[in-house]
Amino acid sequence: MEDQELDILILRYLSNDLNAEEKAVFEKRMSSDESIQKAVNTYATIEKGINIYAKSELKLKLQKTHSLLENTKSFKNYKPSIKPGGGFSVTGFIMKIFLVLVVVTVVLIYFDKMPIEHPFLKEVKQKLDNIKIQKQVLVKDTIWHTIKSTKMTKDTVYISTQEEMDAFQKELKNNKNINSETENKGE
Amino acid sequence: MAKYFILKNSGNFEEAQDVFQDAIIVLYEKTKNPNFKLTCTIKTYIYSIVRNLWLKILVKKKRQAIVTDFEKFYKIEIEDYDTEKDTKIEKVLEAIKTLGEKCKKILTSFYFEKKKMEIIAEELGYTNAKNAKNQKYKCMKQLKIMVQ
Repeated sequence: MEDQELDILILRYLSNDLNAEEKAVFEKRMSSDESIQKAVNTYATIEKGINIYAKSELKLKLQKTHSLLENTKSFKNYKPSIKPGGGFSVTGFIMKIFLVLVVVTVVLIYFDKMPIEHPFLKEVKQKLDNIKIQKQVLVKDTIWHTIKSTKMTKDTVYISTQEEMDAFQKELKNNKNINSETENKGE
Repeated sequence: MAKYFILKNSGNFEEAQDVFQDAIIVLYEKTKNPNFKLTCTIKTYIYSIVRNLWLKILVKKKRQAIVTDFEKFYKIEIEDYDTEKDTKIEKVLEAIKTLGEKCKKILTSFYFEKKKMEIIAEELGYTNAKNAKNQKYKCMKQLKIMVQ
């Protein structure tokens, strides 16, 4: 067998390219021939070397890519969304506490259960009430009146229930009485 | 995660970067195996490779090899060559450097990237797989002569 044929056979053997019969014949031959064993070992080492070389080349490419990436703005600003071991974040904790406080305050103001009084809180309550009224106006049948009122700051009075209508009429009646009394005194 | 693991286990930033790159190469090699099946998340898999590689480095450097974990991990077999101690491999590496670019490409495509000869022939402009195979043989023979 020529050298070339033997080399090809060895390479096929190392690449697991021989069928069972060819493999058995080759292994038998190898066990009795030291030069073949040596050649097999040499080629096996070369294959290992090629793999190590390819890995080192790939690593060089990775290093180049890594350093290129490191210089990009998006990479510098990148912050992993998952912290290892579910790490504790002080900022996150403060934000959560703040959010809970805001929700609790809004609920207390809405139901008028705020334990402290402050002009700002009153203003918020007023705004919430207005939203409530506007919501009722949208939902129920509404009677609109544009008339001066002592209680309401604006001229438009929103009435959505019969009770509110009765109260409004009463107030209107009182206003009229006061006005006529003033007129009488003036005369 | 990999960086955090190494930094928390007596490593530094450069080592973390190095091990992570090695882990990506190991992952690449694993995926080239047709029998490879990913049975966990990619994050856990990479973490397991990084963990394994870092333990080996700690043992080599005789640093403390008891590590603190931050993630589930699996035992992953990783081939390890100590090139510094293996003079034969070093000789092969030196020989490869002297080869032409086409030879390097054909050998790495076949042995490392596990590409089929038909694909290598197409990529490198050989008329058919047989010609590419012949060229591969010539390159191997050249290496054998240089190494012996």
